Amino acid sequence: MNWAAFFSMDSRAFYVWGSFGTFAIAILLEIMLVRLRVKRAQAEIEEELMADKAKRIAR
Amino acid sequence: MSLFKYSSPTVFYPLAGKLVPWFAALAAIFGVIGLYIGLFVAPEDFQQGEVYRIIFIHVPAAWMAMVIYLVMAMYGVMALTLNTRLSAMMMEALAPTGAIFTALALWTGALWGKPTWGTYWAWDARMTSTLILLFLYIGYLALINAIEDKKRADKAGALLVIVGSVNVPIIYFSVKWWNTLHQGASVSVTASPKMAAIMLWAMLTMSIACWMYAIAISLVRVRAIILERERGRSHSTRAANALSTPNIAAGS
Repeated sequence: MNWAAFFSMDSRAFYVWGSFGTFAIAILLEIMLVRLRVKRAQAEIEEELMADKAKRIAR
Repeated sequence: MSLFKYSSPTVFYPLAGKLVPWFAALAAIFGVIGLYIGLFVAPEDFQQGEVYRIIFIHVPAAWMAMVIYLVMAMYGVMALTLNTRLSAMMMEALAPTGAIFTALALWTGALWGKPTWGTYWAWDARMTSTLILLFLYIGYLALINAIEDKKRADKAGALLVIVGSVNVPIIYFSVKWWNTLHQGASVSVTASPKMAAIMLWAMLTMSIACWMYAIAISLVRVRAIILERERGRSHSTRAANALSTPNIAAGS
């Protein structure tokens, strides 16, 4: 298989890889952002649980 | 066990967590197969050359843009009629993914249009209605984030999405109803596909990958949303019970 020809896509590389590349980047970014959102939500809820526990012990 | 058991966020949270890896794995498998067929196996198109390969992501993205919106509208109807909290959360979880697929459909369409039609963009019925779809997604997200009271935000959001769903059949039938620059459907339910079998396979495999991905990512996002929303409710006894469920606290 000729890789140079594959990547040049019939001299339409900008359009083809511009599409596939953006698609890949968008999905990777979404995965990263969603993971961050989950981590932040878990951290916040744990903090709240700890605070509640501390209050109960203080009482 | 009631039919509504899984409509409780606290019951759904661990279930969603268990489902995510399966859908993610299926998305990866179908994605790799689809890309392989689309980029290596499928031959060059005799009219368009290599650039036609963009359709292997453009068409699935456009399908997902419409399907996700319709699923959101369905959840919207459930949120308004059955008052299930999880339906509104699912809407919120699906919207960003729908918006991303819509943006990708527009972007890949523009990059396909330039070498094929000679223009990135035209105010053609299908493209314009797809742009409106993107605005509907963004508008929904802006609306639910602008209203402080979550219950009211959910209701307003559901209403917006339901009303906006009129746009989806407009997108779908636009190429039939109007004389558009965008070509007619190559694949439809009623007629045999107007494309080579191998190209069709690449497109369908990529579509399944996108489906699986959309399900996986929205299940992860809905888990974050469940946590975010339960947090504010911790003063009521019911939510306090929910928070002390080991599943949620441990984040399993």
